[in-house]
Amino acid sequence: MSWVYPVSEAARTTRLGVVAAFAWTGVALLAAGAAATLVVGLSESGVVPWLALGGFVLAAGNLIVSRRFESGPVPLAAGAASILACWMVAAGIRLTDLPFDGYVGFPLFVVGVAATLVGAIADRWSGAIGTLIGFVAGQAALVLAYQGAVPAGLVIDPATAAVAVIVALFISMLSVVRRRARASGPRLDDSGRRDLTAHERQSLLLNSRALVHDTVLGELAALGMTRPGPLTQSMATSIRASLVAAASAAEPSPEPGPPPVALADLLTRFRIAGLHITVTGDPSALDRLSADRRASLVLAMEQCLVNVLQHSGVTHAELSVAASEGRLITTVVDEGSGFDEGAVPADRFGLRESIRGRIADLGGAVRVLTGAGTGTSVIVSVPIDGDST
Amino acid sequence: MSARATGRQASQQRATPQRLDPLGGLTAQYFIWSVAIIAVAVAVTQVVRHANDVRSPALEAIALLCIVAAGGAVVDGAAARRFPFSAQRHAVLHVLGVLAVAFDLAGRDHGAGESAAWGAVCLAILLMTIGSYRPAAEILLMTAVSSITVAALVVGFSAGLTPAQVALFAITRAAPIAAVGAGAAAFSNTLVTRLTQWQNGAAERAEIARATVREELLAEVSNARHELLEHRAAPFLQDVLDRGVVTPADAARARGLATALRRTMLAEAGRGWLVELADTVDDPEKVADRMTPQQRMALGALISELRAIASLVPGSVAVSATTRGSEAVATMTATFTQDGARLRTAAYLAVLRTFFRRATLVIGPTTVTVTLEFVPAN
Repeated sequence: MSWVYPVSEAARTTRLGVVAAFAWTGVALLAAGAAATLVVGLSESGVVPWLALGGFVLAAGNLIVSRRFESGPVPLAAGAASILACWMVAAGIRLTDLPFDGYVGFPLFVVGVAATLVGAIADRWSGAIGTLIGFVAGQAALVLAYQGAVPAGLVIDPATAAVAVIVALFISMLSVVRRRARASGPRLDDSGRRDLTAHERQSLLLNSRALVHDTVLGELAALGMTRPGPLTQSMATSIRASLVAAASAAEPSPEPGPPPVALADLLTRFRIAGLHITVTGDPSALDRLSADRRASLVLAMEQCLVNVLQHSGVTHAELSVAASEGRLITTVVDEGSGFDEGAVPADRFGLRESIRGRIADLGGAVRVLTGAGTGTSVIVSVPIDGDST
Repeated sequence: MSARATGRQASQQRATPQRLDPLGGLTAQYFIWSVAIIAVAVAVTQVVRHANDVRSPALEAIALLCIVAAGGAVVDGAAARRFPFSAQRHAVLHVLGVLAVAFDLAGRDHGAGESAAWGAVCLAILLMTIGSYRPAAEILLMTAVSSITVAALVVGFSAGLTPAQVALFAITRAAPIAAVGAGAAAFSNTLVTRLTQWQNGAAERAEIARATVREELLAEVSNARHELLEHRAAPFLQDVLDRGVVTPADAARARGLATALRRTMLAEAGRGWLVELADTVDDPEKVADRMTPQQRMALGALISELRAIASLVPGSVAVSATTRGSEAVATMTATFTQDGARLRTAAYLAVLRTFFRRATLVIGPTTVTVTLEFVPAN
């Protein structure tokens, strides 16, 4: 997979862009050439130069059709049509008995340029060789139409030759210049791959640390504060569950199905532990998240409730769930002691990684409204997968 | 039509080939120089060739200066340090080109006669590469305005000419501008369409790559955690469970293990992505971790490029980052024993300017300093 537009794609896109540019430049020039021919024909000889106008239409159609075909006999057919169109324009102007001067120079110039551009479009390989062949073929047709009336040296237009040379040079330069300009592409690609790997590793490590924090570290902290004596039943159950959880995979299972910790189980567990939780809003909105994202959110909510239980000094909390404008918003509120977030030591991972880290990993955001003695509100907002509302 | 669909459409209208593919803009930069030189050469040649018709050398000189200035504006605008090529600069190019036509017409005896044509041709030449930088709709609009203005100027300076001559000259002067504009618009439209299609597919491919990488890393991370726990913490907890009794020594050991575990986790959590790339990282607020993936890719690629230069002084790649109000500023410096970084790093500036709000690159004789400003992500 490529993080920057690949050279091969760029070459193809540039080729298509150049072909489109040639085609529409040619068509616009031919339209102007036809208008000029009509003006000159009507004003100088009083006749409509139908043959010449037909040549312009043929040349324009030839440009539009040529860019649509990638292979087959189109280059040959396009070349033949170009020669015919040039001859028709020159012969048509000659039929109106207009003198060969500046008045007819512009129509002959544009039809010659159109033949050159058809050559550039038809040559799918080098571009430059087709350009020069298109120029020569177009000029030959013009010379043929004026044979016996105007010397070939006068018919061949230096301005058209200049256009042909410039077009051929530009096409030739394109691949060389593209290679130089895109030299940084592979480095950017490598950097993109490295960043993706590093980011995913960080994300998995964060989830892993959060899991360790919520399980083994929590048990060690609880044991550290336990009075000596027999291990209580609830503590033994908790340690057993933590050891099983810590030995599991690094991240929640992406398999569809109920989350590892269902909301109802969570509420029961905290009620047993002494924290009564009032649920408001629409808890079923949690089902709008995919299984793995729902599991991460529930783990973050669990950590919020653990913090209430361990640090707030109250036995009641409110949990609300709501979906709004493509985001799922959960709020955990308590009226306890509150805390100063800036004073939380760096080695305390609960709020930073188990809550903020997990939610950031889901592309969400966490707001903590708290202060000493003012209670705490933790507002978690995560985007709902593929929500288009 | 939904608001989101309207927004997407507006965003596509604002999309330019250069913004979608900065490296493509660098490719066109090589042609800009050729185009500017050809335009000025054509102007000088035509002025000299038709010098007999010039009534006012001063006006003709001003016309020439306008084309030189237009060429300069295009070359300067295409430089990586000016990324992106702005609509204002595009408008300036047209204004200068049309002014050249006007002064040329005013400075000649025959007004709109045959000799006064180079201004329009030169403007058309300068417009040849604009399709790499600006959107199709804007190119068509500005080209139409310039073509009509040039035709009107020709009519205005047509005293003594027949109506047919006036019409012919108006057509031939306006045609190159309109034709090249149409071609440039077609080029721009093709690039934007294909680049947008590729980008849409790229998001899907990135998601697949992400899932693959995650799958590969999962076992590695699980093993790392097991090593962390299995060594001391898990056996201790299992032992307490088996005994069913908590002793004072257990409580003390639990506190000690918790402290050790926190310390290990803290050291691991403190490692930002830049630590892998730079020799010194001064980012106390972890601002660099709040760059977008594209910003990290661009800066990471530049640092990798610098590291590939043989004359880089070992240990000299330093990055510092800090917040400044709601924005963040990151500065990267690298030192070299000799000049050599210029060619290899300049190409990255356009890419950096695509992804950062502001990016400056200062290349000294032996130092490279990059300053990047951005709005930190959540």
